Amino acid sequence: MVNIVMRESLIRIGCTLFLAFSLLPPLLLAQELDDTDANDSTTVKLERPSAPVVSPLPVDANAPGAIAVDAPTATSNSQASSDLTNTRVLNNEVEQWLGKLAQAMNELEYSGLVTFEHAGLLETLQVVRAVRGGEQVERVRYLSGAPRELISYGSGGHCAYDASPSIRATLLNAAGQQQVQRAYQFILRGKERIADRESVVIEARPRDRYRLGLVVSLDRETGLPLKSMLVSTQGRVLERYQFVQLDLSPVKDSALQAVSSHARRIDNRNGCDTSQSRWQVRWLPEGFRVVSVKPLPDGDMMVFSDGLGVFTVFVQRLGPELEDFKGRAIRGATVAYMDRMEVKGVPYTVTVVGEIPDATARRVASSIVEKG
Amino acid sequence: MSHGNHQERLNESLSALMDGEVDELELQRILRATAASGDLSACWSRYQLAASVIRREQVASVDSDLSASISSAIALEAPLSQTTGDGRITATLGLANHRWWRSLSHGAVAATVAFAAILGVQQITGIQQNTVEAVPQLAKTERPAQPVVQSAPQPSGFYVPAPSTRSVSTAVPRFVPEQRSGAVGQAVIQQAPTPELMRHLNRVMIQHSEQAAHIGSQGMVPFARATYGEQVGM
Repeated sequence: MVNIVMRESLIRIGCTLFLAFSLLPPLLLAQELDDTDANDSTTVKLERPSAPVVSPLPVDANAPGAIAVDAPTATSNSQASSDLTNTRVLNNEVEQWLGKLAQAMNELEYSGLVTFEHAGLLETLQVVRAVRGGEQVERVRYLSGAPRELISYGSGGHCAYDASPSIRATLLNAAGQQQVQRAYQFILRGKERIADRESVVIEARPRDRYRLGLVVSLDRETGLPLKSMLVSTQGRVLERYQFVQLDLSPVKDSALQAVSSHARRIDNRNGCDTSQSRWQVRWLPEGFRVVSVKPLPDGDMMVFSDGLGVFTVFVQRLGPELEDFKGRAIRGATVAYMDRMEVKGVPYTVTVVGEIPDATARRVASSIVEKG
Repeated sequence: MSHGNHQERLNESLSALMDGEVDELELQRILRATAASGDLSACWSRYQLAASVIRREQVASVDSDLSASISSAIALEAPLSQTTGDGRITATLGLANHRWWRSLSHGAVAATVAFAAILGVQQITGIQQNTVEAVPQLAKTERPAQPVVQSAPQPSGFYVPAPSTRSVSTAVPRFVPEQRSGAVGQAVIQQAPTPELMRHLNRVMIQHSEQAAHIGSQGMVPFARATYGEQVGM
């Protein structure tokens, strides 16, 4: 049994490693233009209302031998039954890893050095994470480029994504995992060594074209993601966050103090914002739900998640100098799509921001209406 | 005049070559022309030199004489991206303009990415705008809008995606609604983003990332994103 699983994993690694890693080097600046063009044309295609997009395997659907965890492609009966058994084994294994991941997210204390890479740019960061009085304290400091530092208190653990008390722990329970598995297919990819530690590679492959894929390498011992990559619907790696060094010894209080004088602090200990919005989003990709609604001085902000991916909708009354803008901005894996809307003669700016495909942002933006 | 057009076409091809966008046939044509014309190879050198300067690459022993010659080299190329003296613009020139700017924008992309890497905002100011007004506006915003700044948190100029079509349009570029930006023979005119726009985008991206940090299963990655575009003293 184990042998069979191994063999399958190898096949999977063989045909998918190409996808995951060979795509990194081409993230050259010179290609940005062409990529954007390509994205544009894709967007146009997706936007055609008469062409429903049905693509359960958008990332590497063409790769021969890519065997989906829950969709065995065997022909003979005996093969099929053995595949089904394997599937169950794999599913269990994936679920165990996801549970471990969620646990690490909530309980683990660590510090380390991280590389953060997108669009051909590499930055280095120092990260520290600890739990103090039941609340998470996290510090991020850029070691390259302009000095930037952020300290976050609290986890927003009161924000609920359905069954789960803490959205960050969505993957902890079976219900949460089922939710997420409706939108993503989880595939065990094998193992790799990162930051001098053994890790297990898991791919979350979107079941439709409305969200990005995620490839994470979880620390075998703790379940902490040592590496995570966001993958576009075209199979390009948009962003990579990877540990260089990880220290799991208990974090000292002094390590949570700001290093720079201008560090920014955010506090989420007061719980989740659940105010009502006057806006309604009429189209959401399958599985996305509203997680938090927050009033802003000039409008509303609504956060949506499918358990892995997150996007935020801003509806604001901005100054006249911003009223005419319509279009998108991209930073790494994050897209911001701006649109205008007029309600009873009053112009509003809709901005959809998130780690989602352009087409999704655009479609969500165009689906916003006033309630009632 | 026909010679001039020919030269412009070659320059345009050269520019395309800089972008790595020429096909086999065009490459052959350029190679033949370069062999025959000293002007063209000199032009190629200038392009490369200008591109290096724009990318802030170390150009060997930059003394004042050389910088002067670089400046003059850039100045020499400048007419490519400007309208003709009488204010009209030919289709070929328009495309050359676009080409040259494109290779410029590669440098700009690098700068923008190194910066806060906000790329590709398009501003559509409406189709009804007079195209005659639009053209000088384009020329004006293209050139100075690409400051080269390394790794600073304030986003610099926006990189603006250029139309992918290479067909020579018979008309001047027009404003088109965004939905049709992919259409053949049409160009979307975009402007450099205003500081207000950059602030807005930075703000929403940071606010989004901060929320996402507490929601998704991505651990501290969103914090890295949230802090990335942050400006000192914001």
